[in-house]
Amino acid sequence: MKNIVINEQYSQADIKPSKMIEQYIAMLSSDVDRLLANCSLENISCPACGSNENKIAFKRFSLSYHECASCASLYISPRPSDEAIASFMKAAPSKVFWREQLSEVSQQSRKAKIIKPRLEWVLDSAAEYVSNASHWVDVNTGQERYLEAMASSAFKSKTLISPYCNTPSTGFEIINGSINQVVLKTPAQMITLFEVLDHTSHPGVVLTAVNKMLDKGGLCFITTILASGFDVKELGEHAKNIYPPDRMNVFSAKGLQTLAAAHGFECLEFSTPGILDVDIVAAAINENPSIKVSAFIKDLILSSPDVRANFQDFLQANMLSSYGRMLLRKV
Amino acid sequence: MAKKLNCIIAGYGYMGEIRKAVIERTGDLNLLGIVDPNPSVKDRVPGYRHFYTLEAALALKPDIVFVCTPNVYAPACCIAALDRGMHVFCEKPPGRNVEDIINIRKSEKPGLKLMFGFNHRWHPGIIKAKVIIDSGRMGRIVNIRGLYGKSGGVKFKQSWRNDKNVSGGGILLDQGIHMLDLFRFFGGDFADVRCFASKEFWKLDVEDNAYVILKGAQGIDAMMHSSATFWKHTFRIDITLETGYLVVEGLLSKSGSYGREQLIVAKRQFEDEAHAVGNPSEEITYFDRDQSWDLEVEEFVRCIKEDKPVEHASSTDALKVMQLITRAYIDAGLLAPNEANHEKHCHQ
Repeated sequence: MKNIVINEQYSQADIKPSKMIEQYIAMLSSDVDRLLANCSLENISCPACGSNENKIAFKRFSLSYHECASCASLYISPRPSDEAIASFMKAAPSKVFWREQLSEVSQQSRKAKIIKPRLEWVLDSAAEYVSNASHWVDVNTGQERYLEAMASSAFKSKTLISPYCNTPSTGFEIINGSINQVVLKTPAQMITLFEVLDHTSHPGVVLTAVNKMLDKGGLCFITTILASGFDVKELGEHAKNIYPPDRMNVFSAKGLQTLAAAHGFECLEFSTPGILDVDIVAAAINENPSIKVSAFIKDLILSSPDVRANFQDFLQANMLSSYGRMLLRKV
Repeated sequence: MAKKLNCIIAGYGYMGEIRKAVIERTGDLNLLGIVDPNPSVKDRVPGYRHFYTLEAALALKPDIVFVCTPNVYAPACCIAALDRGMHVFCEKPPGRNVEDIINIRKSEKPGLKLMFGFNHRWHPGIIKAKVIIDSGRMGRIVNIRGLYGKSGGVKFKQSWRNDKNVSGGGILLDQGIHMLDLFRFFGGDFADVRCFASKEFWKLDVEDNAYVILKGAQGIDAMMHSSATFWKHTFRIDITLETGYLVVEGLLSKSGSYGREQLIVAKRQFEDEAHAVGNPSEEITYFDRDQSWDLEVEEFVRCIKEDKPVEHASSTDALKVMQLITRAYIDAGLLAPNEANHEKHCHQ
């Protein structure tokens, strides 16, 4: 297994303009109220390790985040079904606002700082592990910038599986369906799940479907927010990047690896190349000084940019950042 | 189930033990026995037949012979196996000098596979670096710099590796050969070689430091320091490309003494995008699993089963890297140009 450290420089504001994020969260709150008024909820055990031992960590929009006593993953229970979430993602005003306005404002930064590195990750890994790869399947991305990057890649077949993607097909097949109902015409050698496991009701079902769609030795790319990461651990209920239904599951590093192993995958890479942990904690404390953190953390966020950058590097090198990425191979 | 290939190991020292473990892990191979003149080997390999001579083991008609002997014996072992129609996997170096590999190549025949143990090509940092270079997104290689060295080692002075009659050379031939092979792997052939070498610290029969500069045939120049006086064990290769650089540093090994293997990738800062150029952001990939021994043997088995040419660590690669070392020794004054026709062999 390998892990990476990315000494890149950008700020939260580059990819998430704060005023628009506040507007988004306000819209999201109303949308989730409507969602909950119109759907049934299901109680679940830990989606990562299956444990039933847990405690309630905090609540968001009247939904409860539980912390697994075994793997320390955070997850919402009871929770809406995948169908309800898919409808929400497609039509909720907050999600439309995200796709059409918020992500557009920050598109240049996102393209350079997030999409391009991810594309290089996918292409390099394909060249390294499955040099004969011809079929790349992406699940639920639905963002035009990703689709442009995917379309421009040299793979013979490209498929997008998404129940809510409205983008006209440009160089790839779009399947408007749920992943566990899809039957591919040809097996895939690569499947990308960018922030997908976070908002699915049953992550194990998704990984089972991914395993079925892949050739033996095929690769699965996962990006996600991690409960074991610095800013999530420090901020807990004050974390501004954990809201349902985008983050139904916030896996710990241990939980995510357990989940992958249980579904027939070997982990080739587990990294937490997050850039923003320290900035996120600093911004949250500046905004709300009543958030309780240790004196050490207070000193850290007031320290020089170099010290903060070094600490962020330390988090990455030791897989303690809250942004995680994982490369799996079907065994 | 596909038929397993029968094999034997000739020589059961450090490398022989590694090969045995790889063969046992590889589902495609069946180890028939181990050849070593040391009687104690019999007790160290329970469950396997032990032979004192290669001839006795070859009578079993194995498909493959793994040659893991000291350098002086490797050519004869390779030739004996190839002449009997057996595939050969031989540890590096391919003998003590360039004449040895030329003689081995004379026994190569169509259909027989001959591969050498340049396992560094299969280290994870090297594989990933090669992928990035081959993608072309950082432009062409400008130059390469390598450091590879150790602090002598356990019983260093007594080791056969420092007995010139057995090894043929010192640290450059023993360890530096890997770095030169990587230079060729990344940068192609080299037209000219310069070298200073020294025996001054350990005062042995062979060099303990070599400083090699190479002029690239395709414009990629390189330099290397191979040393037995690096008190901190070091492996580092810097590859400068047009729009960035790669560094593979540390090397996953049994002892872990070379540090955690990592690949650093950085993009060049251009004058119009940074006030202070020359200190770019770096991406570091850390590796924690060395599969190089398994991957190279898997590749060798694949070549046999699919009857495809050996493209990595072939006898041509072995010859060319031995030619570089020979020219380095001549330039450093460790070998006379007229000694055993080395000069002639280096320009074949």
